[in-house]
Amino acid sequence: MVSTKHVVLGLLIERPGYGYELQQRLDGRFRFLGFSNNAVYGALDRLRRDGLIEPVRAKQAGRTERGAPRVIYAPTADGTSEFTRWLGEPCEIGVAREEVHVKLVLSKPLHWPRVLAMAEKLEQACLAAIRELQDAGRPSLEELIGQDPPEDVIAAVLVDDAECLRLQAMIEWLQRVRVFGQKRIDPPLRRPARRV
Amino acid sequence: MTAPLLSIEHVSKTYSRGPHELRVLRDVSLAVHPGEFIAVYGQRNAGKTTLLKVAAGVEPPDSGSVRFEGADLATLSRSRMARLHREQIGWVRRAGPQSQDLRMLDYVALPLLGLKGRLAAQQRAKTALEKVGAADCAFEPWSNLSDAERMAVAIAQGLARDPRLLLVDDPAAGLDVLERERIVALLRAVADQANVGVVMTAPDLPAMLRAHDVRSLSNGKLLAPAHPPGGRGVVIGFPGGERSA
Repeated sequence: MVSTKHVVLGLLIERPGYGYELQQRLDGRFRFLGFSNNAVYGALDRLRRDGLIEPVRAKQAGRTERGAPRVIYAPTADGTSEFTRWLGEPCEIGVAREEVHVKLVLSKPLHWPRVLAMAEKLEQACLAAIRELQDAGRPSLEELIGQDPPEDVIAAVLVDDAECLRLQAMIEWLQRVRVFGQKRIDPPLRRPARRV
Repeated sequence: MTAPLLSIEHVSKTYSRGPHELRVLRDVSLAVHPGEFIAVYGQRNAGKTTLLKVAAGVEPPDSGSVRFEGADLATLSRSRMARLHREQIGWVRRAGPQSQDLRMLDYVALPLLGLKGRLAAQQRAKTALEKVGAADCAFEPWSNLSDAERMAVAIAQGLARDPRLLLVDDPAAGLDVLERERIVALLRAVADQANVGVVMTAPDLPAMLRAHDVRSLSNGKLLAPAHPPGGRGVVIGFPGGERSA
């Protein structure tokens, strides 16, 4: 589970911001993490309580729904060093247990034709996800060598690479399921014996 | 959209293995347009090479049809098919020349010798080697080349005949990740700049991101991308990045 607190702290280290704006940055960049709509506000409270961020000024234009001025936060020196410590912490491996695995576990032999159809659709969805990565049109790793691209572009390319390899692993596994499943369903094809 | 250059329609192919039969392609359809680069992902023995052989008209399908520029390959005479292979369809394989002493300039020029004089063929070969960034290999024998250089030379040989369609069987094998990307970027440039239809097979998805489209082949079926309802939003957003999720 990714720590919302550290993600928000990282966003504030990139540039100071206020609650609503941070929530939008969080949604725009890490939607796939599935944070709740109000995740930022709880994280801001905890960060402030721990002395990792501080209010630096109030935004002049625009007020909160309750009419209060919007408070802009920035990291403290403790916050910056806590973020650096968090970057070096080991990450969770993450267990690949998805809906498809649950369906497989609960299926019976009579369900196999449907399981195979589902595996086929999921493989097509993986290909569509690959197409999204293609459409992003990012440079390749090879193009980054010998150049001086912005840090965020390097990060984007490496994260896309990780996603692509994850999708490849999923496709490979689905193909194994389909090959195995098809063999269970189909009797082996035999050539008719020749008459002597 | 223009008419497809290559059109594979409902093709099935089965091989015999002793008393058993092996279904390699089941009802496979694929259209390749000029300038389109399609990558086919598949693991070992998935039928990738068979698909390319069928596309090239080297293997006849058991059922279905393969058309090149509208002409059904099954109906072509042997001489017309040979001309098609010599002039229009480039087949890229890293098999290398029979003779170990052959210079790469002559190796790349080999398929052109029947069509052009020796000097003209060598000139075309030289241009093709330059195009793939392998001009330095022109006077080297095959045994002196690295895997990446061998692949580039093989692509040059495919390109030397100025084909309309280029079929490339697993160009990434044995290459490191950066060499792989360079080769695939080269194929993309061939499709974009020379308006050549390119079909590449590979067991490696990251190498395929440069293609226009990706298919997967397994269990005899060729699958195309299909979005699940709602989409997924896999692309991560970055500040100042090209796009957001």
